[in-house]
Amino acid sequence: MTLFLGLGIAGIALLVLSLIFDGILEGLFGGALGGFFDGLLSLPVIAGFLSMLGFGGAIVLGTTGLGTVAAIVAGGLAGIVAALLTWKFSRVLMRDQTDATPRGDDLVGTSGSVVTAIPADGYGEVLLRLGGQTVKFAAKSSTPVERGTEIWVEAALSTTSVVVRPVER
Amino acid sequence: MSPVVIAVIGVVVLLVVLALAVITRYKVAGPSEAFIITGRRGKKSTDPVTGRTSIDNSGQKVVVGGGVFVIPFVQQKFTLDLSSRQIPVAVRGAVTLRGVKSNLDGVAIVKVGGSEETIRAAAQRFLQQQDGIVRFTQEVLSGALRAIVGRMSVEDIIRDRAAFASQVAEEAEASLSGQGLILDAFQIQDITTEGSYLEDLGRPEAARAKQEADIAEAVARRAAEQARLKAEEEIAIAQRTLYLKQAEIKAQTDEAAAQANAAGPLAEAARQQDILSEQEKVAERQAALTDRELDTKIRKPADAARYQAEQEAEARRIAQVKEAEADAERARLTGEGEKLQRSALAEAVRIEGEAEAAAIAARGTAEAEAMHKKADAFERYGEAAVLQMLVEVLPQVVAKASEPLSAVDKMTVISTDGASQLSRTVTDNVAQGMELLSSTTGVDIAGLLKNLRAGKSGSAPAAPAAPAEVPAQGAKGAASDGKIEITD
Repeated sequence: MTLFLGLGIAGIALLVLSLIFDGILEGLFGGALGGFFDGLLSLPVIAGFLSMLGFGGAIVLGTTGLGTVAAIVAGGLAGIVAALLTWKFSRVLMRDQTDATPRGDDLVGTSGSVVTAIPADGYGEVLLRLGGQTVKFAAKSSTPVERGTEIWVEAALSTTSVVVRPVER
Repeated sequence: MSPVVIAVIGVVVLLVVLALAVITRYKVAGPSEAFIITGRRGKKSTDPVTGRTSIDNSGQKVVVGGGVFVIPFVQQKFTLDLSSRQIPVAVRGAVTLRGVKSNLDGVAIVKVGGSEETIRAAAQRFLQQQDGIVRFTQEVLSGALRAIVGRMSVEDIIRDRAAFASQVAEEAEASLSGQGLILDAFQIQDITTEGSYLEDLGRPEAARAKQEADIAEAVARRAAEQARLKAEEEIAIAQRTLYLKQAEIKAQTDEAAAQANAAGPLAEAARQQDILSEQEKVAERQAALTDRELDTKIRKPADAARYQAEQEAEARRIAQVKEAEADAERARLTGEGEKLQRSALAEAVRIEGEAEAAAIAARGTAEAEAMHKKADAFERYGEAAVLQMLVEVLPQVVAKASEPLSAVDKMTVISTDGASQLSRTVTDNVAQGMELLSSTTGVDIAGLLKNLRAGKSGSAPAAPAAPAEVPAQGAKGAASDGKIEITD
């Protein structure tokens, strides 16, 4: 009984320590086993399993007249369930993809409008919509483009400049 | 406290702590920051052409404004601030396209780009020194601005925004884009030139504006002045009209007043006239009365007297007529005798006249005879006759010559020769008279006298007694005219 409770409390203490010293204890397991099972053996999972095993065993032992073996089995099952839940939760959070950060290649094909007239051999300025935000880019074009013209982006020259051409409808 | 209760509490605490432990590994980036998560291995890829294998940096995860699960100890999360940074840019003594030195103050807004490549590039350069972005960029932009100014003229920098923006974009491409920085805005705040170039640029326009303003002011002043003068003119005209009206009214009122003033005297005069006419009437009546009085007192008696006198005169006339008739009758009776007497008298007179006429005729014939004889004698003794005539005339000449002296009342002679001068004057006068005669008539009297003395052969004139008396001096024109007294 005391062993079971001790296991549970130890697991909780481990978790609290990992929370307080973020990432220090993580290295004990994740560093060694990182890459395997994609965080399956991370500290919260192991600590959760141990703690749940202890508390589950203690509950079974205290409530039912079954023996220690049965308590260990039941606590183990409960621990596995808790570990799996923890792992799943982590996986869910890991997989949770927010909006991808825009890349330069995403610019190609977007439309926008000219805010500073593009001369024949120089940069003008265009406003593009990129990832839901308007961004001002320096723009070149093969032909001079008047201000206010709607344009397509043909290519991204650099992170801040694009090649455009007027939209022909 | 039963172990079961402790275990149950432990389970609850365990679940909470587990959730916390998992959730704290999920990091959320703010809208203006980017997370760069490092520590995971990149994807291995093989180039199909060259066959080279490479591991890309997709293990480096860039998250902007989103959440990411960071596995502790395995992965590291870095934060890059994406917010804008204001960078003051100042350039001193930049030479413009045309060589004008200018000082520019500008401001640039710079931020780390929002795309994955720019964040990576900026993270490489500025992650540990994000405060240095401003310092680095300031230097770069100062150089860039200097280069831009060198390619543009001052006027274009001020006026041609598009060209300036184009130049700025070019410079930014060259210097900032590689660092993952975006030049959001770049504006010139102030531009000054060494010397007075900018002021000189503005001076023509200022002069033109001043000129226009002056012209406008002058025009406005002229218009105002014209309006004022027009108004004054109209006022003057109105005043003139007013004065004329006033004068007219005054004249009328004066006339009326004069009439009113004259009315009194006129009335007085009229009354005087009335009085006078009345008096005249009175006088007339008086005269008539007097007339009548005279009529009654004088004329009537006078008429009566006259009538009486007339009657008396008539009576007297009648008496006289009667008397005259009687006289006439008596005269007629006496006239016969008278006529006879008269005719006798007339006869006597006629006879007397005839005798006298005969006498005169006889005398005339005798005179004619004498004259005839004298003429014959003259004819015969021409010179002697002329001389005689001259001699007869001479005293008159001398008298005429001495006439001036005879008119003298009192004479005082002052001369060395004494009084003999006077007689000389007289003789001079005579001599001059002779000269005068000879020169006017052509008769040489002196010559004649000489001839007379030389040839005394002529017969004496037939005049029986020619009184050749030379009258005394001073007697006036009493010369004999050769009249022969015939005495019976």
